[in-house]
Amino acid sequence: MVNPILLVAVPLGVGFLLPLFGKLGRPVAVAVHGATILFTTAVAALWLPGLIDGSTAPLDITTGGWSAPIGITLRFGLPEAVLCVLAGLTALASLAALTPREDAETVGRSGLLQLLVLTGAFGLIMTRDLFNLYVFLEISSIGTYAIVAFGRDDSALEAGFKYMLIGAAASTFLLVAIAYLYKLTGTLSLVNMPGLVHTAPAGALAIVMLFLLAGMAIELKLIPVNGPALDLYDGAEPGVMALLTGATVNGVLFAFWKVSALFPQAWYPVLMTMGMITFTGGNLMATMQDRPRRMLGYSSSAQLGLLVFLVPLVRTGAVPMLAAGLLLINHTLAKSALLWLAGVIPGKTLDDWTGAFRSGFGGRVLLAAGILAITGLPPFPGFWGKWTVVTSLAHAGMNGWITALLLGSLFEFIYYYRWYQRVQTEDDSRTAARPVAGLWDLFGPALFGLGGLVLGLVWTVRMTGTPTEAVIVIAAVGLVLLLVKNLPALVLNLAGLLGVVAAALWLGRTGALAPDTLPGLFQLLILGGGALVLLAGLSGGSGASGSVPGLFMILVSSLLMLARAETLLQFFAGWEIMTWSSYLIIGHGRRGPKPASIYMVFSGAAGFLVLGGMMAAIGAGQTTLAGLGMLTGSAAVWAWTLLGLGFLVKSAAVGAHVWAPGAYSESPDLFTPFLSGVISKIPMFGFMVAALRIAAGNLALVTDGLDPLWLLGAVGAVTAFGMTLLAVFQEDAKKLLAYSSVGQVGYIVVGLAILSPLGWTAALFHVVHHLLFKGLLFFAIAGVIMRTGTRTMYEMGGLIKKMPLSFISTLIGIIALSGVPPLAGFTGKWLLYQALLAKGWYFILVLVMFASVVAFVYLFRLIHTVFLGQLKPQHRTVREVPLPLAVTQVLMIIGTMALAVYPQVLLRPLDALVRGQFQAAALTFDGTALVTATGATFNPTHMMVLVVILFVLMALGLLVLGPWPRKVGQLDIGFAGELPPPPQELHYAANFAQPYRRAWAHLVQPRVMRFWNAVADGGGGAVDLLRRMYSGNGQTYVMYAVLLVAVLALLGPGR
Amino acid sequence: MNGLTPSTLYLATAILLILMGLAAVLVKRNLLKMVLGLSLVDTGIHLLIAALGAHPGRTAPILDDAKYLADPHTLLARVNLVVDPVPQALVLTAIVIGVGVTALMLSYVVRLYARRGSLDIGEIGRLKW
Repeated sequence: MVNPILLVAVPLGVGFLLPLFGKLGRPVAVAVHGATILFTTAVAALWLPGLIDGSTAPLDITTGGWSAPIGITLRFGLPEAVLCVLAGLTALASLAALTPREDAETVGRSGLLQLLVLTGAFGLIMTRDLFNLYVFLEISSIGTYAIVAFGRDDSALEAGFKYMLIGAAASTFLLVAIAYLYKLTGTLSLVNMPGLVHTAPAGALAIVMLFLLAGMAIELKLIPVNGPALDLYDGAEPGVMALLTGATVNGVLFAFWKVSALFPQAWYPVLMTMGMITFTGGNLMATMQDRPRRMLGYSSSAQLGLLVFLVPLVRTGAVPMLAAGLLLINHTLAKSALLWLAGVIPGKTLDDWTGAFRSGFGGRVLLAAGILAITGLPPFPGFWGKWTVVTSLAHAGMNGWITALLLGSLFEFIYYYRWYQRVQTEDDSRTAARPVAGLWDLFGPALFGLGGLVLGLVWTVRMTGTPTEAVIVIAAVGLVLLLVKNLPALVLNLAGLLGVVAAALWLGRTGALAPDTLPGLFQLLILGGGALVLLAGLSGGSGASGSVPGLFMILVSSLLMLARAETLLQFFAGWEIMTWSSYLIIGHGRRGPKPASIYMVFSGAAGFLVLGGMMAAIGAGQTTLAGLGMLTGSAAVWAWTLLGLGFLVKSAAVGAHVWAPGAYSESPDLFTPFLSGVISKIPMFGFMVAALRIAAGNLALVTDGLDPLWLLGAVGAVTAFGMTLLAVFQEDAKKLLAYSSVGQVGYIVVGLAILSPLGWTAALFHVVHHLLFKGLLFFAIAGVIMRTGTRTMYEMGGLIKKMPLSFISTLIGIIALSGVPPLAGFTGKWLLYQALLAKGWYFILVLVMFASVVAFVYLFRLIHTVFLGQLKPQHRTVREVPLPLAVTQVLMIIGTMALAVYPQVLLRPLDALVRGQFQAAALTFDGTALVTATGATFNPTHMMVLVVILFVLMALGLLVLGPWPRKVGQLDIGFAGELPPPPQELHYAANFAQPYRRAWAHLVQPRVMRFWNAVADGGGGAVDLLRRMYSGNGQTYVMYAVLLVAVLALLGPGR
Repeated sequence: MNGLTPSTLYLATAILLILMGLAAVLVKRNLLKMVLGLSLVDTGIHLLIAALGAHPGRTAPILDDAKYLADPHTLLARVNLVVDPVPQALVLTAIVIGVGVTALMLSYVVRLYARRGSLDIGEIGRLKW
């Protein structure tokens, strides 16, 4: 094995020769530079396998033949090897990113500085001598200061100077601390010093620690001394900042890990507090940024804060070092990749990012991957790191810290997805001139993106076990489809469809798809819904091409993982992958990016609430879904409350419903059926397998004062009622169906909350039925939009003759939805009302009944305005939908009709399912009739026969007796006067709901929207004030450093 | 001058230098004067470290005769007569680093002046918030 001391010696030696190599020509300098980095990285990497499996012992290198405490020692163990490899790879990719911008004149000098930074980082990582550590810190710093000045930008100089000023302050603090530590302990060796430091007088030690911490806080960019670092991210070349992130920052962090052994335990709360303030505060202030580079600076500060927070916890063994390591690796990979990509975009404001990386291959995918990784989403390593950290904190009962951590993570969502929203926004006037990422620009992001993905997948298997083959197949097909996304929609969707069908057959053979179990039923829904969407996608159109099919496959695989979950972690990992994949798909809609980012923030909040609930359970020792039923006491209350709130937010229950209309209506048209039919049911699945298990296990929870189940039911009923009112006013067909979908989920919540066999039967029946009829409606409307190019209903009309199948689909859809006989909507409502009557929840019953009556007001407009009336001149050439979409609709019509004629086909498996859950039956089947436990009877088949007979009689009657209609041409009409423009507003359907608006306008004021806007504005204003502490003045920044020392002296443990 | 040992005097001077330098960095608006202030801080620190190793009455840590090394007893006696060499080594290193940093800062000042035509720290606050 090669001696790692070469890591320091070789780059330092070669570095100063690089300017000379530069004289020989640019390629020579670059080749020597690259070879040096490759050599050092290889030296470190060769150690890795042995260090990982423990066959190689960590190496202690002594200099000059003297061992500690006299000589300087360096250590090379597993953490050192990992960090050195990371630093080497970062340097390599930075070379690729920075070199194209250098000319022959400067390439050698720039290379020297890059190698200097790298050497400093290697030294910081390996050294075990306090003064040596200081020297390497200065080498890194001087390299940094000089390389920043290399930037052509005026602001790079400004940033560099301010960074030097505060760096000088840090050096001063550190030198004083190091000198006194030597005085107190008589050694500089970090191997011996921790054992000796506690013998020093407490007072003196406290002052020394004060300076040590203040110095390190500056180097680690903690609040409030991170101002110059923020300016540096803002002003310096992003490629340089990537190098600093992967090399120097990690070196400093590891140096802090080493000196943290010197801090007495009394200092630990101080370290944790400073770290967490930086994490939460940094992320909070980043939400106000409109300059992505500076935003990345805040984010780096925040991530470092999180790691500083973890240092004392790792020291005490509360958190495994591996978890902190994963977070560090994740941050390095993601942040460096994002910075390299930021280097491609010349402008600094958010506007400059509009439509970035639209052309060219891979830029946007890598940017998305970087953002997913840094916001801690699976399968990237950060997710597993964060999960382990949070579970460790839960075990230690540190709930306050968990709250702060999750809050900071939510702020992270807000600004990162707003940034990505800008990237997804296509604005032709701006996007056309966007630079394309070159091959070298993508080298680093691709390398690190792939590294993060592979490491993340390894950890996925490690933490959640190997997923079943079907999940792997679907996810793999998804990844391949993402790579070949430029193929025609037909090929992409066909491949996806084959993948889903193969997976379904596979799962079916193992018996996993039995509809009489909850996971089986939901897997059936997921695979069935997925197959229908892909089938419809064969016809092309909105949401059938580009990266959407690939993302859709990943979404389906995550949903299967979630439905099959046994542990809380499996559930949550599936949940989070579902969140981001559906988010990315919604963003592909034409006006999708903005609603998508709102969707992501609400989904993020939902995810963190769910995570919080899980932590309450894990803190009480339960790690499986089945174990939730055994929770008691306050753990049960917290788990129930947080899980329930999370599921409600995700299902867009009233109050959190503001994300839904935009996300539903702006998502790609062919994806909306899945969003409404399947994804909105996933929180319901969560209620059944998680939240309600807790409630079922805790009768105390249920009977204590206000019944929480009644409360849940009331939320569902108010959602159903409120969304129906809102749906009435929509002029946009998709928005109308969006509100309607959210309302329908409200019915399901009511059914689940009853927590009785009949209630669950009603809820599950509605889950399946809603998938069928609402999917049918969304597909029909998608076809209409495809053909007419509009979603506004009063711009359509008379389409019945042009699109008869779509008309029939819509007709059946609305009959099923409105719950009138003879379709299964009536059966569903009947079951729900019976369950509510049996339970005695009359208030909820009245609300739900009223809502379903009002639903008529909006439903008939879909038929009336879109399909009946006069055909618009511009639609005279409209044709019926393409064959695949037609087949999809026919299949769903068959399903809807089957449920209507013979609902036992579904009710029998559901009966077995609820029998398994409640050990009691909901229904008995008497021939084709349904009989409840209370004796109520209903026969859907007879009902259908009766209605058909009645309609046939009526039709015959009309045929025999009726006035025969006379055909007239559409334009066979005369006007009494001139037609005032615009003609659409004279259309009887424009502002159709005006009378209702007068009646209940005060009920549907956008109060909730206003509330959320007020939260955003008020919070934003406060944060805006807060971030003004970074005044931009170098002296102010130094003053903060001095004040930090003063505050630590007054409030720290040393006072 | 009872109780005022040389060590105390060194320390007091060192701290005075550091505070003076710090005051200059915090108060003076001229970039050159700020750099000067930082140099003062540096000098103060160097003096402080040297003072930590100082031991009144002892000589420089130089073993100038081979005969001391021959016998462990005389070596030990001799070692006890010199000051601690480590802080001096540290100071030497710190001086070198200080010179490098100062030179770099001054070159920054030159380039900033060339770009912005001003030496006022208040003028270089475009990056903020």
